[in-house]
Amino acid sequence: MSSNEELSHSLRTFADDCNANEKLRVMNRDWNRVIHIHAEDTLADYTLTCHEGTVVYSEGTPANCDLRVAANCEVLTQVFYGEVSPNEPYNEGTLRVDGSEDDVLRLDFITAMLWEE
Amino acid sequence: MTGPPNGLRRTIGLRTVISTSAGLTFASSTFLVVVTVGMLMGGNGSWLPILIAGILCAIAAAAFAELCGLYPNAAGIRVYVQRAFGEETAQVVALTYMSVVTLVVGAEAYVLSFVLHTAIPQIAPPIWIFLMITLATAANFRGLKVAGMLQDIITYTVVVSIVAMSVLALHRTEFHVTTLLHPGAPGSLFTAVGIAIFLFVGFEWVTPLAEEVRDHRSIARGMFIAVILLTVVYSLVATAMFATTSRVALFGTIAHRTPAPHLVFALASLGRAGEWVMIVTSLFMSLTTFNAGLISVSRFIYASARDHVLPARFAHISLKYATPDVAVFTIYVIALAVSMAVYLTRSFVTLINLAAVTEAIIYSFALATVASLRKKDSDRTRPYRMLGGLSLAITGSILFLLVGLGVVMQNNPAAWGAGILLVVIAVGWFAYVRKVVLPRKEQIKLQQKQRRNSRRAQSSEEI
Repeated sequence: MSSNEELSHSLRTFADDCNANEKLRVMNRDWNRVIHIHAEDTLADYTLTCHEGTVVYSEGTPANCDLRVAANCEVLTQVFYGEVSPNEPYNEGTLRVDGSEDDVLRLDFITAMLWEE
Repeated sequence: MTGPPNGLRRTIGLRTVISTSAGLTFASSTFLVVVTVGMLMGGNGSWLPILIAGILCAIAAAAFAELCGLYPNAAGIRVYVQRAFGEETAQVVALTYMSVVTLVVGAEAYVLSFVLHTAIPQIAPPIWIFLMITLATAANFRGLKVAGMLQDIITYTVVVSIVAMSVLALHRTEFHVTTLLHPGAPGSLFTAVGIAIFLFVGFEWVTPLAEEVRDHRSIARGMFIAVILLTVVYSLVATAMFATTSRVALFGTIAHRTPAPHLVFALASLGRAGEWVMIVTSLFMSLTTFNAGLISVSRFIYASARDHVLPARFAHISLKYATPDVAVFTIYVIALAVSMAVYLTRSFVTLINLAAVTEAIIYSFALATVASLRKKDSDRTRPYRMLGGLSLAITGSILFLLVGLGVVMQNNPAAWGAGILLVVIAVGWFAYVRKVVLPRKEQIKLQQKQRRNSRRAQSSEEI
């Protein structure tokens, strides 16, 4: 089972990988969004802020968000490490992503470009 | 998890939910169905099967409202069926459904090409088909979609236009409609109800908006109101069409169906001005069909590639527009090929029957899924529970299956041809899922496990 430390590490790694990926920075240059990540079993909250192509990681719940990603700690850790495609837990109903359809799809594009291409 | 998550921005109200749900079902090809239903009912009793189909679809709407609250997920029916009946069934259902949606876009392009050819006869229908699908694809490629205020304007304009033309046409007959209560033969009524399901195809595609609505009850309410609105609009226009226009002109012959009967109706009852209003209305109706159809199928192709169901190349993304370019181009080529094939073979009625029976089966699955998940996921919170519970879900599921069968059991090639086509598509995808997808996914799961173990070891050291 994953811990909050592992989830936090996976999110920091995810943000670093995004910032190191030039293609992603170009694609997300006008996608400014606040993403709230919530671990349902440990009740831990984290925030990823995407601004002009740069992703910033922080701990805690944002005041307002555009997307909210919720699952248990294990699933979130696997997703943000890129160990599983978010499609799998999403289609199984164990990962919930709240937000506009376009934003949900963009988040999936990001994971696809990070780990699949 | 229930209720709206804190802090999430939500902008969509009930008006837009209704316009999206109703707007997704409006299509130029629906008038062909109105005429088919009317002919089966002997003319003026066509409102009856439309009303019954509307009631059945209201039951389906209740099922989708429950399922969407249970699993708020953009993948919709694919996820619900997977939870209830397993991945293999879900993949086959979703792949078959999306294949049929692609074919329907082809039929819609064919009908609209005739509508536009009437407006500008110098341009031949195949050129209109090419232009329309290319334009719709360009919009899809740029990530543009009909939504929000634009969807409101389009849907409510279509509603006002059809209702106004129908009332004006009926006014010319001094609202004297004979045999309005003629129910037709029982067998015909049964078949007509099945075909009338086509008039409601896609009302449930509004469920992905669940996380964008200000009030979470809006999705259920919006779908119900949209189904009622569609029932009224189509019942009214069906009655007006048969009360004012010759049946032969509306229908043509079995071998040569009239491709745009709504223009025949508008011209016959309201003159050249009426025909032009109908041309614009038809264009509006097709706009949302192309937009929603092409976007949904291309995003489905992308998601399927991400899920290792289709080859990985379909998951390629355009950096410039942030859209799945390979999937968009693939659906462009398929839609163009299907439309041209429909133009050459004039087989659009087969495709419409195919869509009606497929949608009836999808609604049957949705209701069966509600029944199954009431047992399987009994502990999971449901923001909305359909009235009538298990018994209505099971009864509704059986009814949809029966009316779906009624569509393909008619004694004409366009009906049983649709049945054969559906079986071929479903069996083809079943074989593909079993022989290719499931072994591929097993292999990928093993690779993921190995990757997880090595990455965990590395991250433990870093932490």
